[in-house]
Amino acid sequence: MGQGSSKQQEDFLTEEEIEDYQDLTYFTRQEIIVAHKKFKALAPDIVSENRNARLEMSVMLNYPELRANPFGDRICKVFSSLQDGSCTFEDFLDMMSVLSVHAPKTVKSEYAFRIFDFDNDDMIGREDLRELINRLTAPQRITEMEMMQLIQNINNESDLDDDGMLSFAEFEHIISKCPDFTE
Amino acid sequence: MARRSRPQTSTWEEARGEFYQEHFPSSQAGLEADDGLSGGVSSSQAQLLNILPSRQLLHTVDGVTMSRGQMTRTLGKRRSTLTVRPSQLGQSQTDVDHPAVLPDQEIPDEQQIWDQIQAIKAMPIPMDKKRERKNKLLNSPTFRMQGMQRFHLTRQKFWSRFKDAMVDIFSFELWHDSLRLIEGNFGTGVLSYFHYIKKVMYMNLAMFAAMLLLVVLPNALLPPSHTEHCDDDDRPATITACCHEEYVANVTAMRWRGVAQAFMDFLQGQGYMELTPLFYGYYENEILVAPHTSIYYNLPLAYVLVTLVCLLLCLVYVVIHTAHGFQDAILSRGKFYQYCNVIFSAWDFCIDNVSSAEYKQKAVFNELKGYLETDQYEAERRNRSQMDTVQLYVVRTVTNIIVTVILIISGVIIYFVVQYSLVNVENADSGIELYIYQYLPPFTVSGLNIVVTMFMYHIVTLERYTPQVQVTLTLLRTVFLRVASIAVLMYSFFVKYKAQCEGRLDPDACYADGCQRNACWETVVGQMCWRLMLTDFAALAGLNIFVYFPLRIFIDHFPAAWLRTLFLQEFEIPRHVLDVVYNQALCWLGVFFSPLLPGVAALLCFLFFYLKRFTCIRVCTPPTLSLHSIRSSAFYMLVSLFSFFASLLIVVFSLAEIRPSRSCGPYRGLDTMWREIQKTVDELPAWLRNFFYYFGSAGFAVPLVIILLLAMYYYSAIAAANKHMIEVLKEQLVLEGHDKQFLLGKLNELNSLTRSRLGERRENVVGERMTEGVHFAEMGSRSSSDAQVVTHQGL
Repeated sequence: MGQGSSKQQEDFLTEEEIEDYQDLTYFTRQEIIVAHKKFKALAPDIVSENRNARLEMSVMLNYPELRANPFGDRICKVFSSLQDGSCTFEDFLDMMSVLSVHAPKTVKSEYAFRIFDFDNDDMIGREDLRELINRLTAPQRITEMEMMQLIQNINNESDLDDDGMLSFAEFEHIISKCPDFTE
Repeated sequence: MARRSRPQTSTWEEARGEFYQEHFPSSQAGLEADDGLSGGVSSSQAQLLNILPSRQLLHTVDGVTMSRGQMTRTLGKRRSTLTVRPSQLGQSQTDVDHPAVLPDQEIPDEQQIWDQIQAIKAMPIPMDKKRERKNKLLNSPTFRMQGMQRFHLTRQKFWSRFKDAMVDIFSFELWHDSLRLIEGNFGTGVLSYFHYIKKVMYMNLAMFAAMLLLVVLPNALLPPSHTEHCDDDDRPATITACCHEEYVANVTAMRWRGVAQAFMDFLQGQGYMELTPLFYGYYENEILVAPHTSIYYNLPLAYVLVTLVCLLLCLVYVVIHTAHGFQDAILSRGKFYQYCNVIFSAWDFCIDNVSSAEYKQKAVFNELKGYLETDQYEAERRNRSQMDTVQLYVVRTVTNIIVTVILIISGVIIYFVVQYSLVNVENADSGIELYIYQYLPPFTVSGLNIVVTMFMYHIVTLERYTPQVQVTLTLLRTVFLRVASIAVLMYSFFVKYKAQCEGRLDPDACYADGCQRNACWETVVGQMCWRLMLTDFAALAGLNIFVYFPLRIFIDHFPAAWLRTLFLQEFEIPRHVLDVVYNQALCWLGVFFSPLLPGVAALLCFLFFYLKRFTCIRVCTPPTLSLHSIRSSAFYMLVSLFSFFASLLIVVFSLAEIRPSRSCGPYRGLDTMWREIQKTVDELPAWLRNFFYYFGSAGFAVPLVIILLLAMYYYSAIAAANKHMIEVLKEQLVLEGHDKQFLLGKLNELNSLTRSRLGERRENVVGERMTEGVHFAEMGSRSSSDAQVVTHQGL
């Protein structure tokens, strides 16, 4: 499986593609094949026609780990090559590779910053933090006062240049101090 | 400089606020102190922000987006390719056109190309761009390397391919599926607990392998060089041989008394079990020789040395893991970054079903609430009235007294139970009675552990500590209880043994009156450890399978709120950690008296995994309170360390105080076990002997202690200096941020003013601006001198 088989089916990866992906992601051979199987499981008929089909975000969100994740839609948007949430297999592979244990903290923190930046302005501002906290604690409601207090505390801890927003440098600085950031 | 600018910051902020209010009435009025420019960035300021070098790092260079970190690193190498000049204000430069390789730069050689290809993985760009880049790199002109460099490169390439292939083949991870299931349902906190079990199991397996190869196998395979025989005429001289033969005869007589008895013997470690390699009594006290060759193997020496080395290696392993975890703990500094830690790292991206996700969200919510409550608690504590404080301290003292009293009572109970059982074991015949008396102490210990632990969990809520302190305190108390119960058990046995059996030993008797069962006391101790381990595991398994599991089924079928609050359990990690730690402490304690005990411990760890997995998935709900200090396995290792030293203390005490038994074991007949080592050292050549003696003398110890103290002082001084450095750098960073705000504001202001007042006479504008600029430049120049330069240049 995964060899350039004599079948005419388009849904198996060729050997060169696998090697290519090995070079470009943090996955091993086995993991790439498993990832392709999972991708195929999301929409078997579409993928069997075109290996690298583009799946809409609603289909992507059927993947269990994305569905259970409050940031699922943000993850899709960040990794999607068209930035609109629809992913090809390569985007999916990218996503899995970064979220796996092999990827170093720097890469993860880069993507995490993009995921948490809800308004795409390259800084994590107050509204971003508010959205972040709300999504994290979803069914339970945090009162407005507690929210302000939390945002204040975060800014106290991390905002070094006092502009009220977190730039990437500050974010990376914080992440390097957080031992739990393994995702 | 850092100190001086602090008080000026407030005036600085005011001035800045004033400044903005005067010239930017459209941006939000009444800036809050720490709001700065958030939400109120006007478009021209945004444009200014865009041309900053730090922003430029995001934009495309060479048609390829690189990560910010990478850009700063390659900036050093490729300065010529990045020319960002904010020559035109208000214009953002998105594309900087530069060829990938300038003509005057050297053509990269294969090594660099290969490094760059490897670095593509880390770039945060979509896959097709990565592929483009890789192809471009592969097709770009390269410089062929010669000789050694080429060899290095080929070797590197081969090695990385080989590693990838090997990882694929040897990707067997024990319990892979179970771990993924647990991770998906419960998150990484619980997962780290199961990883801990795995690590402990591997450690035990390693110890077991070492003991097996180095002690058990030689003893089983090689015959002793010469055996002493009992000479009835000359009994005092050959007393050890006589006693040994007698002992072996006695034990062999009790060997097989029926199937039921055999099963009970298995549980007690007696009968046919007693002369197996499992226990100390099996081993020879002579040098073993391979027949017809001159290979010899000094078994007694090997026994002691292998045990010591194993314990030492375990210690090193545990310490290393604790140290790793502590690095993380110190980095995160507990309270220092706790909010950021919770919010940015809280989500485990591996959770894959919705109900667990809900639990996780609840856990995050609780954690945040916990932190907010802690802060409130701290604030409250400072405002607490005198009366309240006194009352609280009284309550705390009372609970501490109660806890100590309970611990003492448990110790006393265990002591008396042991005495009672020892007395009755001597007098009882075989059968159920014996079985009950022998198993009485372990069951008491297990029972007390369970009951007192539950009690302690409830009593700590009275003391009104923060959750973190509560959990740590309970954990410490329960660990202490468990270790103390073992210690009391052993101690009471030793006391009784010494009083009754050792003191009255005649030179030509094998054992004192009434001590026949304790003829080989090391084996007895080994049997006690064996029984303790089995009982503990059985009690745990029984409790979980036969009590908690039906309770859970009952609760699931009769959803009543009061039932849930009363009986539904969470998978609280500290409690379960203790079980594993207790097991491990028994293993370390018993390894000297029962060399194969690590194997038993490894087997029990294996079974523990499945038992805990069952408890976790079927009986308990996910923990809603997950403190990240408890989450790190370094904390568990620390607790293991404590129990390790406690066990070591007990073993050393027993070896130092009590003579080896005369009837069995590698040290029969000697005064102490240490004599064996001394004998060997005496037989070494003189220089080696002096070398070893030197280690024991004061001439070695005192300089060693002095050197260690100096090293500690040195490292603590460096740590303090680094901490200070961090503070200084942080303040500098803050000040640079202020500078940036100020300069941006000034630039924007000048920009808009020059545009809007084109028609007016420049001189008037210049004059006005100059005074104002100088005014603010003065304030700014206290933090940096750039402001002055800019204000003058900008005009």
